[in-house]
Parts: sequence; structure tokens; C-alpha cells
Amino acid sequence: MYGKGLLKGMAITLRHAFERDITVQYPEERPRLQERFRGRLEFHFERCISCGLCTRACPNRVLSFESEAPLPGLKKKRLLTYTIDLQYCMFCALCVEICPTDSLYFSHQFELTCARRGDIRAVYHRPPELDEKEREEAERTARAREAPGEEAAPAADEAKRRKQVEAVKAALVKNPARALGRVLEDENDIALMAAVLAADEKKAATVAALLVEDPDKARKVVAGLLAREKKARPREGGGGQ
Amino acid sequence: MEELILDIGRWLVSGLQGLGLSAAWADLVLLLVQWGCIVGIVTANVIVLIWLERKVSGFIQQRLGPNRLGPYGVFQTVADAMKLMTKEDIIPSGADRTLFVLAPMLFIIVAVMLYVVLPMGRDMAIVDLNVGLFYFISVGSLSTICLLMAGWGSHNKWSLLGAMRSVAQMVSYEIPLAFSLLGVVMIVGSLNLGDIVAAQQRVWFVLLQPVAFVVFFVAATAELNRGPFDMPEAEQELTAGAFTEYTGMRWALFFLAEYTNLVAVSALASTLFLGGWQGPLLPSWLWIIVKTYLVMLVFMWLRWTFPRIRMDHLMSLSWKVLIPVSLANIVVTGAGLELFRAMGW
Repeated sequence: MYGKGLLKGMAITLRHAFERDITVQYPEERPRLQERFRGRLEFHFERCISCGLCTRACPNRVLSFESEAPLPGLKKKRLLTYTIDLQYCMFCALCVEICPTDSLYFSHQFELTCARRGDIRAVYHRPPELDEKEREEAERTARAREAPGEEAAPAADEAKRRKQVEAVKAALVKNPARALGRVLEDENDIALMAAVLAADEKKAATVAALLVEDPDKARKVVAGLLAREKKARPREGGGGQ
Repeated sequence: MEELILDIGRWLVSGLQGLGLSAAWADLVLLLVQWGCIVGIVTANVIVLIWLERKVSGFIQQRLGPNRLGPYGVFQTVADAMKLMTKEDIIPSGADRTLFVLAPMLFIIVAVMLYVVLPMGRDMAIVDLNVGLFYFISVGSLSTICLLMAGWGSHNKWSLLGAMRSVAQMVSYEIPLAFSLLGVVMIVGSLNLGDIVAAQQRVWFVLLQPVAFVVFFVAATAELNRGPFDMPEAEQELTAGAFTEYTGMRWALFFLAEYTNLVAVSALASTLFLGGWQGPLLPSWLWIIVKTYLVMLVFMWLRWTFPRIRMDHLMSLSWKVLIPVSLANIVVTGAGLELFRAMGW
């Protein structure tokens, strides 16, 4: 029939006429921004390690910074100023992606209008409290070097080891293929082992500790456990051979 | 309520006669007052219509339309009119001044002249002409000349081309427009708009002449230079065709005239096909306003729905579709009338 398409079009516009308007009345109503919205590029001064990756990544040379050698005993360079010349920024986020310490981020602030051209340039100066913090830290390391504490070191080692074991234990649950990949080759074996360890927390703890301290011993223990398990469940274990 | 406006007229005439004026002079004053009323209605309507058009287009496009000036933005058009009136009046140096100045004036005069015969309620046509419909169509076609004057007077080849395009379009669509009205005239046997309304006491002619109504509506859209047939203006493609060189109030007069024509044609559509001022409960002059506004809303709905049609398609739609269809409608109507007469209805 002639005119059917016309009627369809008119039905659509009529329907739209009575739907909710999508206009946002901007100055009174604020737009709802997505989490990843790219507003003004901003900077965490304390996180920055002055590595310069951001300035290399930036295609428009928006970013620049000044830094100087670290205080004696510290590794982190002293960042003095960090400048974001937003007028050249094209919000590509290459700097945000490359920053190893997540110092750069896009805020949700999008009203970038300025009265003068220079105002759009954001210069971050070194906050004085950061100087104080760094000086204290430098003093502490210096003291530690002069008189290395007897108990402090082993205690620190112990804490570190315990942390590693915890991490491996978590990995055994979350990603057994990767955690057990170092001691087992066969996928089916890994799956079986993971099931066993998930069922028995004590065994999991032992295996985790061994994985951290002595991989050779861990391999043997795991092989033993596996053999025992296969004997107990011949059908399931047999499938992998 | 029904007689309210007529009573005002009678009271005015008798009052003037009471002051010692002769009957002829009193009638002349009444005529002037009526003329003033038409101009007032036209201006008020245009202001409301432009606002309405913006609101309707906004709603159709899921926007809000004007909403800052006054409640629901009703004063937006007033502000725009102010702006247009304060703008500089530019007449291009090479222009034919007489034609250039005359064209918008004649355009609006012709548009206002249409209202003389429209029955705006029971016994409320200003002049009860017995060739009212013929008058309406012939005066309506004069606006073509004004467009050509504007295009020629601007001394701009693009304006002239735009004007010629508009003229081609309007001349082509006048034919189906007139033909589609003939069916109604044949049924009523009169060109008097009052008679045509009276003949629709029982049934509206939109039911007896649906094909004619559709042809009339399409042709009227083209005659009014409205979307999807707004080739003469085509603001996204051309710079307003024949109106390119016009500024400020002169340009606004064209705009005013276009909306005036819109009201007139919508009123004609409701008079011929939708029973005119007839209707229950409400007074007759309110009924014609309601119907006219409904027809205008449909015109707006069409404009904001369809994309602009191509020029050659526009021409072939008129000559190859609308004219044959309206001719066939006349033949069928005539045959049907003879048949019913033979059957003794």
C-alpha cells in the first residue's frame, strides 16, 4: 500500500513527541557523567616518581616537569614542579595509561573556560609537607645504615616470607593453573590438585609454604599427593593419563 | 456566547448611528474595525504559531523547545520580533528598489486578503461572497508574483533562481489544489463558503471526499512552501531562495505572510472538509479556531517528520500523481452525483 512508510514515520515522530525529553538543562541540571569521562587532566603530586614516561608519551607536549636528585639515602627523585598545559591536550589518555604510579587521572570537572589564555595552564608546586616527610625518611634510613638493627632484619624477612605464602595461597584458589604450573605440567593434574587443595586447607597451607621456600621439595610433595589422590579416585585420575 | 462577536459589531454600528452617523458611514467604520481585527488576529496567530512550531519540533525531536523567556518560553517570539524590528534595513545597491520594497508588502497584503471570505463562525464571514472559494484560490495564487518580484528585485541571480523554483512549484501545485476542491463544489453546487459549511450539517466532506482531502492536503503543503516541500526556502541547502537579500522587518514580513497563509489554508481545509464552524456545545467561532489549530498541528507534524523531497520528484508528484488523481476524483464524483440523482435521492 502506498503511504504505509509515511504513516510509520508519522507514528514514530508522534511517539517521540510524547516521550520524555532528553535535554539536560545544563547550568541548573548537571550532566550525569560516565565513570571514565575525561574531564580536566589532574595530578597526584605525592605519587609521582619523576620517571618522565608521561612527557614522552604525550603527543602534544602538554606535560613537563622539573626534578632534582634525591636526598641522600633515598631513591625517589625530588619532583619540584609539574606543569599541565591543558590548552594543547587532546585528552588521548596516553599519559594516564603509561603512568606506573597512577599519578595522572582525568577528573569529572569539564568546565575549562578561562578568561585568559595563561589560566588554563596548571602548575603543581611541591607541597612543603612532602619535603618534611622525605627528610624524616632520609634520616631514618641513614640511622638504619649506621646501626643496622639485629632483630629488625630477620623480623622483616619473616614478615616478607609470610606475605609471600599468603599470596601463593590466594593464588592457589584464584588461579591454580599459574600457581601450580611451576610444579606440575599436565592440565588435568593441575585441576585435580587444585580440587584437592581447595578441599583441604591444611594441605594448601603446606604446599604454599613449600612453593615459596623450596620448589624441589614442593614438586615431590605435590607428586606424592597426586599419586595418593589418583589411587583414591582411579576413574577420574585415569582420564588424564 | 454564540452571538458575542456579532453583538459587538451590532452594538458598534447602532452606537455610531446614535452618534449621528449615517448607516453607510457606520458600516464603513465597522469594515475598518473588522480589518483591524483581521490584522490583529493574523499578528497574534503568527506569534503563537512560531512559538508552537518550535515547541512541536522540539517535542518531536525530544528537545524542550524555547523555555527561557516567560512561562514555557511564550515570549520567545516576541523577543525575536523585537530583534527583527531593530535590525538594520539593507537594500542591495544593485536592487530594483521599487520591486524590492514592494514585494514583501504585497506578499503580506495578499495573505491578509484571504481572510475576507473565510466564515469565522455562524454568519461571521466579513464579506459573504457567492464566489468565495474562487476568490480564495485566485487571490492565493497572487503570492507567486510577489515571490518573483522579490527574486527579480534583489538583483541576485541565486535569488532569481530560487524565486523561479518557487514559482514553478507553486504553479504546479495550484492545479491539483483547485481540482481537489471541485469535488466539494460539485456536491454542494455553490462556491459560497457559507453554503459549503451549511451543507456539512450531517456529514463532513472529509468522509465523502477522502481522496480530494488527501490531494488538497499535499498540494496545500506545497503551496505553503512547508516541509517536506519547502524547496523555496530549504534553509539547510540554499540561503532562503528568493528571500536571500532581505533583512530585518522586510524579511519578517515574508515570514509573517507564510504563517498567515498557513492559518488561512488550514481554516479553508476545516471549512471545506471538516464541517467548518459546526460542532456541538462550543460557540461556532471557537469551533473553527479549534479545527484550524488541529489542522495546523498536522501540518507541523508533517514538516518535522519527513525529509525534504527532491525537486524533480516534487514536480513529478504534482503532474504525474496528484493531477491525474484529482481529475479522476472529479469524474467519479460527477458520476456518483448523476447516479444518486437518477436513483432519486
